[in-house]
Amino acid sequence: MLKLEDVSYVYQKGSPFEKEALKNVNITVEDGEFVGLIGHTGSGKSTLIQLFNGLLKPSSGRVLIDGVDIGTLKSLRDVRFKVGLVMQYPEYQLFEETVYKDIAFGPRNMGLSEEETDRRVRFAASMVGLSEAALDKSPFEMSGGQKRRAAIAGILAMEPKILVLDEPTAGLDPSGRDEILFKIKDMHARTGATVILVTHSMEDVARLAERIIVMNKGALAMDGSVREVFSRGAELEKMGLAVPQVTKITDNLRERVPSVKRGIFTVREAEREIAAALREGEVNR
Amino acid sequence: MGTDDIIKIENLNFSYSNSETGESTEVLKNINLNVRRGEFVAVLGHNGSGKSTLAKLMNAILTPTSGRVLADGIDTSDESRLFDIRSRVGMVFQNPDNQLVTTIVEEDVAFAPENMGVPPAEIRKRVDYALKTVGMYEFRRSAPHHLSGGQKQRVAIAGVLAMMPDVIVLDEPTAMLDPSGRREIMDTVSRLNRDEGMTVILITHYMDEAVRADRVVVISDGEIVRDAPPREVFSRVDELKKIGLDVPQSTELAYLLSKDGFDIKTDVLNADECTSEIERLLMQTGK
Repeated sequence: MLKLEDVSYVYQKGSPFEKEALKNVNITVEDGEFVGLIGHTGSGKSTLIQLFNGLLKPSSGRVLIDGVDIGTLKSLRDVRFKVGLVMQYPEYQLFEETVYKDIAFGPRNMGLSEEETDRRVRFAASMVGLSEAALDKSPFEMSGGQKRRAAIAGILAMEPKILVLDEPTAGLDPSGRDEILFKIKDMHARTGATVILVTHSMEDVARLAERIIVMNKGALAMDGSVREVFSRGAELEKMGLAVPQVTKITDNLRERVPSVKRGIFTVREAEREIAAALREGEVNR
Repeated sequence: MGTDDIIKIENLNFSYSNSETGESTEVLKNINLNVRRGEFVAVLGHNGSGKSTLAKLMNAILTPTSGRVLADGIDTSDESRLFDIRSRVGMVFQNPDNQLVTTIVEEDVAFAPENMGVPPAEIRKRVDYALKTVGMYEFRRSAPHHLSGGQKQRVAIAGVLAMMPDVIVLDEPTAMLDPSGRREIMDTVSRLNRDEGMTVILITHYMDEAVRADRVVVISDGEIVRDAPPREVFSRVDELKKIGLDVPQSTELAYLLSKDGFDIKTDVLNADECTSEIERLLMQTGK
């Protein structure tokens, strides 16, 4: 379990550039959850995830992992293995001669045997859909999408209990994006790891997560199910977050047809609702 | 001065060759494309479609394997004219951090004209014009690393504007930005085209960005598969999905409803258009 208690974070404290990035944030994420974390740039979401594995220390408040305040630990080594953080554009961090060695870097660092490392490398590679042949390649001769997957596999190979991904689909085209998201969803289903997906794509969140946390100006603005959050479309737009177009369309139509459901976020669901309304021909004028 | 077509691409083929194996990979096949002065053209394609390669061929970062590219009538394969080509065709790339080189915004914008040997008084004028045009004038004394992604990218655009090019080619300029940053850039690009008459070539895989263009060129597997106004291109939902592109949700919704037998226009491009089409249908059924 990951728990943040009254966490605040101030950058460059005491300097003229002092900036409060997080204000009194309280979040609890249970084991096995799939949470979408959204917010526009500067909302504090990147600061937040760096607190999860101790890359940053809260200015006040506590970060607890499985009940242990990580601020009291002498070494954060175990925390780093428990909470796997996939940074933005992780392919820039590939450095080994082969994909295999790159993925093996984490497990080797954990002091695992060669046998266990090998098992994990192959498992992680299969998880992200990299073939056996790809393992012998240099990461630098692979396509952007493949590099991204290799970098994610490097974190998966440490088998973290909590996997945090910061914009894993940034810069990918729709098919590359869908592929990565599908693999993450699959991985979540198969390993039961907690997944926290940071994104500004409402569509991605809608398709994958069970719960959405919305950050705005360093504070927790919303925390609820996907439908609950998307039913607050007007508020989200005010925070500079784009709601899915079908959410907007069905919100517009509700003025005329009050029976249209709130918080619709997929095209198929919108189609069903609108087709039903049209067939009934119910019009409130 | 130049011709009416600021960019002319004739029978272009482009292949990369691997220096070790000697194998060559065909990236672009038989491309013919003309862009008129003042036009706003979006080039749409999935990753690996060849769209970024096409962008790089427009200002001689790459040159054709066969066929030719003319920028304002100048053949991009003519190395002696590189300076003329680059000063006419400005490029904006994906990552704003890789394009900003100095520690103060206005110095960054002045960088290219300084290198081009523009006189100082003229540089001052250009920098002010460029920063005002992208709405970053009030940040002229700021440090780029204190800016948001969208702001940095606007500074990068100002840097290109300060060269006074005839055409701006933007290669996925919003790929690394959040929704508000994307909106900032797209508003800036639309304004540049509409108010300043700048020719814009936007390389993107976001349909909702391509919607703003006069014309959409769709590239798939190195070939142009469609070249038409956005409405016409986007109403082909099945075709676009097949080549791995996303259709705006509004367009897809209208398309699905029409398949369900409702008499709805399928060339809607945004939520408002889709809403009013559905409202029109509701009015009809209510009678």
